[in-house]
Amino acid sequence: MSGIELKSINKNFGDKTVLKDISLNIKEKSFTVLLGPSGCGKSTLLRIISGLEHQDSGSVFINGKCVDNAKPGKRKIAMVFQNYALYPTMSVRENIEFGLKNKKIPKEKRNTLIEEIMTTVGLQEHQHKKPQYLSGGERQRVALARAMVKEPDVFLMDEPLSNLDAKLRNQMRRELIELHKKTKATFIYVTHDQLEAMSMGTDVALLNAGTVQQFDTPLNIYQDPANIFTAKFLGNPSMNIFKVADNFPLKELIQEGEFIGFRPEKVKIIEIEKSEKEKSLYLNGEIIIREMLGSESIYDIETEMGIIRVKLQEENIFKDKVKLKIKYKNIVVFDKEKNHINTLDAYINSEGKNHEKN
Amino acid sequence: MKKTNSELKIEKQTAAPYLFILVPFILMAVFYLYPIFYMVYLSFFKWNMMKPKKFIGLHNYIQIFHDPDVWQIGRNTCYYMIFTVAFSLILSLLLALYLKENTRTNRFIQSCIFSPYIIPLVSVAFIWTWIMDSDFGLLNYLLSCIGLKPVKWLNDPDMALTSLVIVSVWKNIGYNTIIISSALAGIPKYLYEAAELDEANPVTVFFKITIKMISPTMFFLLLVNIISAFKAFEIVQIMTLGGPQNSTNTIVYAIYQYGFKFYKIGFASALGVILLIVISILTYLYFKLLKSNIHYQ
Ligand SMILES: Nc1ncnc2c1ncn2[C@@H]1O[C@H](COP(=O)(O)OP(=O)(O)O)[C@@H](O)[C@H]1O
Ligand SMILES: [Mg+2]
Repeated sequence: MSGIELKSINKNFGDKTVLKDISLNIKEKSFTVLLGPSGCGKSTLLRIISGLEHQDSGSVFINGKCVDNAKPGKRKIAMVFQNYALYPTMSVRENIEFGLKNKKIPKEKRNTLIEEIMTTVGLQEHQHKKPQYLSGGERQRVALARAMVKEPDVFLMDEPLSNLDAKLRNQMRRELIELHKKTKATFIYVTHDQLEAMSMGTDVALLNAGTVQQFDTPLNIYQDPANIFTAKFLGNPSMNIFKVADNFPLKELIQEGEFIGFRPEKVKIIEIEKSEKEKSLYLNGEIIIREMLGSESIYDIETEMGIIRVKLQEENIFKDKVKLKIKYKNIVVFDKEKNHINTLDAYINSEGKNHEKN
Repeated sequence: MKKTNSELKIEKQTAAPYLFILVPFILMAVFYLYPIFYMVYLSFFKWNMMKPKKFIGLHNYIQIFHDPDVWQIGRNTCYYMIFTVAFSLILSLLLALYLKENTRTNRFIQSCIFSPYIIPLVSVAFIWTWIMDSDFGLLNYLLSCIGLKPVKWLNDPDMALTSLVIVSVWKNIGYNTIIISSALAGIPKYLYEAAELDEANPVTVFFKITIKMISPTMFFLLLVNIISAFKAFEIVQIMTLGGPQNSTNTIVYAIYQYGFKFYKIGFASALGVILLIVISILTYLYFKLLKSNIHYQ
């Protein structure tokens, strides 16, 4: 079995439970993103994989071997820290060389490895500078180079792009994807940014309050959220969620106390209601906030259900009173525990069958 | 050309800061600069404070270089300085490393170690004069308890200067340990984690990370300790008066003796000028080295 396997990892700090029974099967050569809000335990989990932190119970397997008693240096991993953790007293070159020296790799071999890495990340001209004289992006590259030069089986990265400006972040995202393809190593990448997770990850483990909410490909999580938390966490703006209550438009179809949700981009603004074969929810609303972003626009629309956020591509709406249409197949139903049941059209069919059976 | 109102205002504003520093500047001039220049001036004269001054050029300096007493004073000063500084720094570093873990006992030990620093040097010197008394001192009593021969400490010309070194080290360690401790506490934990991932062994970690990171602090302490060792006075005055046989006479005490006991003001001034030059060179080297190769965040 290759890749990384986490078996029922638990971790407490004092009496605070940070990780609760985490089991994950991280595929070899995947780009797995640990995604979740700040403080949910992502970094702690990554540090447990690296060996810098030790779990209270459970086991970590890397490439089929249990590494619970292996020191961080012996786990064939390399880590990129959020603040890069470069050695401030050493030059760029010495920073990269430090790990190789400790491994007693002969000098000629070290030099070739370093030259190679320096060219790859474009640091030749900076190699004798100390980190304090580098820009944020350059430091980031040094941190990457320091990890890459070890040729590890697994790259662990803790929010490596969070200290960069937006433009550099976009560029680095693409470079990391390329790096992943080139190195053929397993990447485990921690972030709280759903955009990074969606754009880079082959798999995403969505964490909340120390538990895994969903572990799947980003697209599957987006299209098929396991619960309201995952539904709201992915997508921008996040999914519209309403609790079914009295005088609610769909209350004859759905049980009270359950929830419905639909994505802002699935709402259509229409001129007149036409009867169609496909069932849809129709609502009247009034636009109260407009955000025009050029290629897209986002509206907050007041309706009888509450305020709905709507995202439109290209078209801009200038009148205030609008008619909204949401197809049943684009509406998701969640049960009272906020877990995913089905899309509304499928839900109605199965409920119907249930009724027939009764 | 007429100046506008705002231009005038700016002029007034630029004058204000100089006015503010004028008062301290005058005080400095009176209490620091004037005595320094007057000392340099006096070093070219023969003067015993009674008869009028007599200009003798560089004669005082020439005399200094031919006086075996002065050479001994120089040797004493260097011996005292080197051993006080070396032992204070090394012991403080070891202590600070030992106290790195912030436990309750360690905080207690730390405050114990720090207390000598807040006791005035005069009291320290008196206490240690008793402790080191050759006949009734605590130290010799303790030595006799473990079956060792008593030492004559301050009365032995071969031992007296070393005794002063011991007292100064005891006095200095508190301050140095506190400063080094805070420097150690300031090393970010993630550097040690990065080193762990880089498979660095404990010796490498100690020299390449710990020592390198606190090097600016160590360097600062080195200079402060050297200068304060050069300036040693109270401890000599109270414990040994420069004796026995001139064996504990260090430069500042000698300047005082030549000036106010033997009334050789010109000679004492010339010694003062030499001390000034040595300390200036050290300070210059300090800043120069600091710029070139010592790490500062
Ligand atoms: N060394 C520690 N001691 C005590 N609490 C900690 C420690 N490290 C992390 N925590 C706590 O554990 C929780 C999860 O932290 P972390 O894994 O860093 O979250 P994330 O990286 O998802 O933002 C936080 O509430 C944090 O305060
Ligand atoms: Mg974190």
